[in-house]
Amino acid sequence: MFALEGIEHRFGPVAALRVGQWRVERGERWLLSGASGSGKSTLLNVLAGLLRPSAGKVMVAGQDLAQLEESALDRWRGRNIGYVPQRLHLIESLDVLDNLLLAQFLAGATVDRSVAVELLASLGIDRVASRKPQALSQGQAQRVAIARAVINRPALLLADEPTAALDDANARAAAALLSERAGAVGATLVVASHDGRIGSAFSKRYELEPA
Amino acid sequence: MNLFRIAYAYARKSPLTTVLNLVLLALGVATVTLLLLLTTALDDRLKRDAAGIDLVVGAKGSPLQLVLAGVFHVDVPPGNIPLAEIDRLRANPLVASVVPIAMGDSYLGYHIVGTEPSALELYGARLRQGRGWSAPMEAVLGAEVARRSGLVVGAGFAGSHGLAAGGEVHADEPYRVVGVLEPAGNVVDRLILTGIDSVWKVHHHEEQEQGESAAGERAPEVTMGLVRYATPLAAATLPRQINNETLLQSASPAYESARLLTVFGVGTDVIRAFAAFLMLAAGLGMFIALYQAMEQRQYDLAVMRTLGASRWRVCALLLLEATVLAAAGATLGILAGHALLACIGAWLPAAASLAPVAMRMLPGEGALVALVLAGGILAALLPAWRAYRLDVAATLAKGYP
Repeated sequence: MFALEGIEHRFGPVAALRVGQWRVERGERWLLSGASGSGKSTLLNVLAGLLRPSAGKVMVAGQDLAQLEESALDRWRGRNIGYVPQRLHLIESLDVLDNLLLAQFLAGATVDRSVAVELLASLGIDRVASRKPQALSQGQAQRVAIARAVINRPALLLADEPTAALDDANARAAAALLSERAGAVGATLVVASHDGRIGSAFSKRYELEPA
Repeated sequence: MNLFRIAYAYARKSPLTTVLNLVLLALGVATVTLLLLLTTALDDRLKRDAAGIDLVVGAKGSPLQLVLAGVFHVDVPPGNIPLAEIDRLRANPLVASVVPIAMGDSYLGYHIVGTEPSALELYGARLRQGRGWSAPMEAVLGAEVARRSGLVVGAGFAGSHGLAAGGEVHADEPYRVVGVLEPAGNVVDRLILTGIDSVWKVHHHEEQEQGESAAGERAPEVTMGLVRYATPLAAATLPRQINNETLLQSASPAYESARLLTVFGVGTDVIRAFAAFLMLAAGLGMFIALYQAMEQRQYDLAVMRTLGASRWRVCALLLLEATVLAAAGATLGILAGHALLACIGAWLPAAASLAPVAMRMLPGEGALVALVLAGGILAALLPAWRAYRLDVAATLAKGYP
C-alpha cells in the first residue's frame, strides 16, 4: 500500500523525523507509536502529501509523491487520503451534513446528500445532521470527523491521536470504530498514538524513534 | 455544496460585521448614484427647458438673470424692452424667429406669460383640452399648473402681482381658462400662457388706477424675446451685435446653464468626496473583516487543504467572499440611489421633473460597479495571498490558540 524509504525531515536545522524503511500492505491496520516529539504527526503529514520530506522516497498507492506537482498532489490527496486531525477541526460555519458534503465537493467527488445521510446513520449520528459542530458532544464530533474522513472511500485512512481527549471506554470504542470504518471502505489504516489503552486493537505497530 | 455556499456560510457566521460592511458600502454607492442621477437629471432638465432657444434678449442687466427668468422661469426679469426692438430683431437675417414674452404676474407661483401662439410650437406643447387663446384674458394652462391648481377649461382665476406667490391680487381683471396642455416634459408644464395684450391690459389698468399714465399712451413693451438663429454662424456675431449696438442685453441659455452647473459643481464635488470616503471606509472594513477571518479561519482552510482543496481554491474562496459582498453592496447601493431619487421626485413637487431619470441606468453606474468590485478584490488580496501561502502541516499542528 505504501512504502517509505530513507525519510528525513528537518524544520530548519532541527531534525524532526527519521524513518529508515516502512512497508505497509493493503488493508492492514497499523498503530504508529512513539514518544511525544518523535515526529508522529510529521510522518502522517508526509503520508498525506501535506509535507514534502527533506529527503527520502514516499510511495503511496503506487504513486511517488515527489513526482506530483502542487495541485496534482492536492487532487491526489482528496481522492486517496482520509485524515482525522487531532483537534478534529470540523468547519463550525457549516452544519454536520454540510461538513460531509464539503469533503465530497473539495475532493472533486459527486456531491451526494443521500450518501452522506446514510453514512451518518451508519455511525448512529444522523439525528445531529443539521447541528453545528459546536453543539456536538466530543464523541459525536469525533464520529463526524471520522465520517468526513471516509466519505470519499479513501485508500489510506490516517488518524492523529484520535483518543487523546477520551476516557478509557470511549478510547477503545474510537479505535474499534476507526478499524471498522477502514474495513467498510477497504482502506488501509494508520493511527498515530502514544495511548497505551488502544494498543491491543491493532495487529501491527511501527515504533518511531526520536530523530 | 459549492464555493458560494461556503462563502455564504462564513458571511452568516458573523452577521454583524457582514451587515455593517454591506451597509457602509451600499451607503457610499447610493450617494454616488444619487449624485450621478441628480446631475444628469438637472442637466437634462436645463437642456429640455432651453431646447429651441438659442438666445434670450432682454433689458440690460445680468445675463444669468435673463436666462433664469426667461427660459427656466425661476427668477424675475430685469426690466422691459420696447416691442419695436423685437420687430427690428426679426428683420435681422441671422434670426430665424423671435418669440416675445411679457411677464409680470403669477398664479400660485406659476408665471403668467403673455406671448404669441408660436410659443406653443417653441415648447413642443399640444392642447389636451380646449383651444388656444384668441381674446384678451384667455389663458392656457401647462399640465402641472392644471394638475396642481385643479383649474379646468371654463374656470376663472385672478393673477397676483409679481412673480412670487402672495402678491397683490388683480381681482378685477380675472383670467378665464380656455385650454389645458398635454405634459411636455419641460418648463411649459409650469407656465400659464396668454396673449401679450392680456398682460398689457392688467398692467394698463393698474397704472390707470395709480394715475401713472397721465403722460398718455406709452409705447408697447414686452419683457424678452426668445431668439432662434437662422444659421449656426449667428452664435459668433449676433450676441455681440446686440450687446454693442442696441440698448438690449443678450444671453445664451447654453452658456449660462453651464455657468450655473459649475456653481453646483463645487457642492457635488464635496458630496462625491464624502461618498468616496464612505466607500473607502467600507473597503477598509471589508479588508479588516477578511483579514481577521483569515486569522480565525486558518484551521478551516488547512482542513480544506487536507480534504483535497488546492491553494488556488482556498484563495478563490476569500476572493469570492469579497466579490460577492462588494457586488451585493453595489447592487443595494444602486437600487437605493434610484429609489431615493424616485422618492424625492414623488415628495417634492419642485423635483417631480427629475423623477423619470430614476428609471434610467447611466453609463457612470456601470463604472461605479466595476470600481466597487475592484475595491472588494483589492481588499481581499492580502488575506487571499496568506491563504495561498498557508502551511497546512504547521497550522494543523498548532491546533486552536
